[in-house]
Amino acid sequence: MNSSPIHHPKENSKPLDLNSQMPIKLVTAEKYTIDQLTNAYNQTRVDYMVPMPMNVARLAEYIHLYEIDLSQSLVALVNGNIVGLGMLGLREKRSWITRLGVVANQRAQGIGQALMEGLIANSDALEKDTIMLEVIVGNIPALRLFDKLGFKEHSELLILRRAPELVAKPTSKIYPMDKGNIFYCLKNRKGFQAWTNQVESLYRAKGIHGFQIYTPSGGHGTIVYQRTMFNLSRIMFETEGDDEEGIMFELLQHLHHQHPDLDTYTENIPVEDHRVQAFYRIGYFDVFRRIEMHRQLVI
Amino acid sequence: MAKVMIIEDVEDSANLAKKILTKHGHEACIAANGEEALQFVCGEEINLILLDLGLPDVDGQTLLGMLRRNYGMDKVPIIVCTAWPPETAKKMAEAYGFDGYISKPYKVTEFMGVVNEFLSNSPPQRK
Repeated sequence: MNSSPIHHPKENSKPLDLNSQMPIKLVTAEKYTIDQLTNAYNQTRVDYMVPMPMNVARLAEYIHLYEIDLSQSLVALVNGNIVGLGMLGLREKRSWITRLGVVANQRAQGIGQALMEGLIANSDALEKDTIMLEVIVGNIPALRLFDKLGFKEHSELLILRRAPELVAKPTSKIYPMDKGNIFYCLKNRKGFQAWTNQVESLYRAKGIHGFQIYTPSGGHGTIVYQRTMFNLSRIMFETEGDDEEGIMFELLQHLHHQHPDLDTYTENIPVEDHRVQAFYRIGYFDVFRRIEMHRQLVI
Repeated sequence: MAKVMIIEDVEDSANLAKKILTKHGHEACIAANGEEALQFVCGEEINLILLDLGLPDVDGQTLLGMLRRNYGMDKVPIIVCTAWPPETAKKMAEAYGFDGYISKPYKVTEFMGVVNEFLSNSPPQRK
């Protein structure tokens, strides 16, 4: 079993620090309404560089898309007031810690660590092999905490954005993909996928589209994306051939030629992926970066 | 006196911006999300919009497009208010066509410097 301190997964009291008499109580998030959780989450993020506030509908969608289990997610209380929360997503042998935050005036008192230890304990109790999480580059206190709790850096991820802009019509022909093809391709992608880009996330998302191209030199490219009324997002891709960056560029050219009025953002592309140059060439820019961290279950 | 709309979900931040503007003789109103902002701009005379990028219902970049294209705000200066590092804020402002940016946390001199730059030649616009 894991050698880290185990806290009762459902309810736990822990002293704040040596100078404080106020205990932290951890309770399961399912005791709260989505409205209350939304409010608590927003309170923890008001001073973040990337605040990412949510309304009730957005948080409910997030919980659905990313398979957040509220019975395994935790809310931290001090004197009966919510001071922090952390959510746990569950998939097969993996778990994902997300939406972790502590209200600004209660930080540096052990609340984040108590939440993390509670979430790790919940994950371990369910015998999940790997716990995943992401942290924004530059969030040193969080990085230190995750490192202390046994998380190791796995990869650095890019969050990119592109404003609507016309692009020239590409020469190659596109072949639209049906849902069966799209999910077949998503399932068979090579390499690492962040939680938000895993096939299970896409299964649950609305407005997923995709197409393929074949180049005269024998190259092949596939792109899958989400299209909503105002945005393109969740861009997933596979390329094969001598010039993979060129194929990527052509895929993006088709995408933006079809949707010139739509704003685009895409998350969690590994920084070392050489095809990211194609994104920059067609007008994407870095918004911020995350570090993906993993912690393996210790038996 | 000019009328400024502050689109900002963080109450403290919105109230601070309103306080600074009011102190400098302007009228300011607050919309806490995109939906409120779109309801508010209908039929209102507005000289300047201060727009936070991270809103709970729609992001600021998308809202900018809606205000400009669908709500007749194409001639009203729209300033992005953001805690992004200045380099990212500048890139964002240029790419999306914001008229300028103000960094958070607000510094009164810098805040009013940007606001004044746009208020001096902005006739009120009504949808």
